Amino acid sequence: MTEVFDLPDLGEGLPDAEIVRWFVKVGDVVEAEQPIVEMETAKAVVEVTSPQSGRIIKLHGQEGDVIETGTPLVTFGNAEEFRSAQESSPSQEETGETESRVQTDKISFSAPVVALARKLKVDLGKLAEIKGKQAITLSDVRQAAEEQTALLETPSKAAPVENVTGSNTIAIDFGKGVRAAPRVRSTAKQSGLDISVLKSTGHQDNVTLKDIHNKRVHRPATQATGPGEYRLPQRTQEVTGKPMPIRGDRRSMALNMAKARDTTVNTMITEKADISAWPEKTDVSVRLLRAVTAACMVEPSLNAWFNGEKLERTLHTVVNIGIAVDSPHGLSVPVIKGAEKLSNEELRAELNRLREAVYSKTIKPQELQDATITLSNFGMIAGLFATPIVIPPQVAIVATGRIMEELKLTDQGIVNARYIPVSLSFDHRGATGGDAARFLAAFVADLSLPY
Amino acid sequence: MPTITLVESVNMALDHELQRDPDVVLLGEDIGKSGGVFRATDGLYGKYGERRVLDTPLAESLIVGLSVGMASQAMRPVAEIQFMGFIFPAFNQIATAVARMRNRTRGRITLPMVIRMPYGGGIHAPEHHSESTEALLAHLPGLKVVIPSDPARAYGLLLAAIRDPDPVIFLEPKRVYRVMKQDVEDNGEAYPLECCFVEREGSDITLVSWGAMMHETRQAAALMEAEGISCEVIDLVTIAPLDIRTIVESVEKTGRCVIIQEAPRSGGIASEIAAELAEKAILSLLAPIGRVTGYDTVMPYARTEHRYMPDVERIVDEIRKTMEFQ
Repeated sequence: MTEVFDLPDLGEGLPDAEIVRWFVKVGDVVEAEQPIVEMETAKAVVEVTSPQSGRIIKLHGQEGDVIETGTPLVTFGNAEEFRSAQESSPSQEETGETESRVQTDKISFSAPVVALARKLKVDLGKLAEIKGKQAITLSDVRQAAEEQTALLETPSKAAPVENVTGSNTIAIDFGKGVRAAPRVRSTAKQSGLDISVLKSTGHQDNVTLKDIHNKRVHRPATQATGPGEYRLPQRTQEVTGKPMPIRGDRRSMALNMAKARDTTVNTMITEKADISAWPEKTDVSVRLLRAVTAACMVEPSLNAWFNGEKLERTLHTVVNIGIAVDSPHGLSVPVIKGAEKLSNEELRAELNRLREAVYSKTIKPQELQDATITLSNFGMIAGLFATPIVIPPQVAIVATGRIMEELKLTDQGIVNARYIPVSLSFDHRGATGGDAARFLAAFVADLSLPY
Repeated sequence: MPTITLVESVNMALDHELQRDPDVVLLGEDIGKSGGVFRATDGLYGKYGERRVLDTPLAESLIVGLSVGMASQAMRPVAEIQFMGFIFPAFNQIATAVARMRNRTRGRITLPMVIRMPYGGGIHAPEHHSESTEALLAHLPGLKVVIPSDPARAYGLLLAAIRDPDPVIFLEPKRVYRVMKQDVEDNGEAYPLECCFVEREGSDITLVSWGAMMHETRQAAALMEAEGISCEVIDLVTIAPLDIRTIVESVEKTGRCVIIQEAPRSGGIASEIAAELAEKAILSLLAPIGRVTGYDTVMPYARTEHRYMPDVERIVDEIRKTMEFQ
């Protein structure tokens, strides 16, 4: 069995010591306390004695080498190990050299040269050109500054922030390179907005809370220059006026919608859900998801797949809710699977995750499959009622509009009530009007609960 | 070009300046005949004699006080304090004379002097031998505080410190005095003071450190690179006055920053950098500014000091935390 003897601390906290002279060689048998090596520390020359008796099968350094405290000095072993060590060890594979050179910067400018050039406002690229060489020294920079050659043209403004595409996989950089206060970033995120596509109107070209608000209510920022003067809003994206092929999400939307029209019997029914009882800061999306799940429990006929060719339907045991997500790339419908098993917090977390995945285009194909029913909350942008299209083999799609306020006559008098307008489309081949109405009643009832 | 350690490059720089400028004088405890507690002045007494390399009594107030007198008469004293923990008897001279002579005399008298001292832990030393109190000195207007992180920088920066017309506190990271070697040419080329060095460019996160901690910071950056996280590494070099512009520009690019210091957490240079970034780079930050530091307690003795000082693992943890912030 081999035993390694590490270099002990030879003084008061000395980090290393240099080998002056070995008193032993590989293969020697030594006694405990026998001097084996003479080491020079920063302070003195010291004899190091063997901690044990035994055969030395390896010396971890040659005379003149520096050994760090706590790293191997010699290895002890038996005769057999000595032989195998002799055979296997290539001579001096490790040089014992510690970290040697500084990270060299790109081209040949060393970090101090770059720092001095910044300080003296010297343009290193220009200087290298003038000097006709790539290795610029500190003296070159000092000389250039003195002779006023190769100076930076503009007094070094912050380098333009490139849209750095970080190669990391950990973070999704929502709005890297965009200037915005932390609160603005978090608000944008909560609103599901990609901050990098927002117009920035802040004093330092930063995105402000107002910019987010403007985008949220879908009112592009326009500024009337005086009273009574009107100006058309600016286009929010580039247009060419020519036919362009569509790809990706928009293409699959076009194909699916046409197929849906040709195969289903799309029938719609609408209702208003009274949400006046909701406490402040209720998470609308989570409540909608919960209400869909509750309604599927009450009326499973709409949580179903219908096969028109075989004339069969599948009433599902799980509730997989497809969520219509509007992103810059188009419409996509990621699926929250097993919604009936998820708490409010879990629903919110899953929704955020899927939405970010859609925005960052990292959504996986299987996360877009197996929906048993679909929810679209177009009211986040605008609109009250709609005619949603059922995507086969699903039987139903629920779509909700913008929260509206209306005066309501009650026993206590006139009160201000808040409603969510609901549009439910179903494939009349796969469900009856009664099924749909029962589903809608359960949906609205769940939504009206205070919690 | 010799391949030398940091302490050897300090020796080379001192040698160069003694040779070049007859006004340069070294003084300190045991620096002459014995060559210094860490051998930084090894061989210089023999080469330049007792009028250039002075062994002083064991009295730090005298060492600094004498330097003030010499510097005010246009000499260039380079004083050595054996350990940073021994500076306190001389703190009066530093705070009341060294730092403010130029101001007090309305610019008529400047003090071209350097006070060298090894700082920091990690060498299993007794009490008062391991502290990193650079912030105490950086807080005094009128002092430049400089900390090199490798042999080449120690050489170039010490030349710059000796040639500077004003007092420079030169802190030497004794833990890495001998852990790395570099090819350092004795070319008399001074490095710039008052600017930090961007020694590795990156796009995801900015790491700022100085002195001995650069060693761990570089290792952490290399580890993160292997995971696909691109770190920009900045060596602060001059602790005071702070070159905050370079750091702000880096953080504007990366959006994230972790600062690594060996000193206790509160009231240190890391806090100062974080405050400056909060003022000047708030609009670019994607995550809170992270700090990896020692703790707000007296530096422990040998057996537990490794738990006190930031290591690669703690730095990596903080980088991950900062990168994962959403």
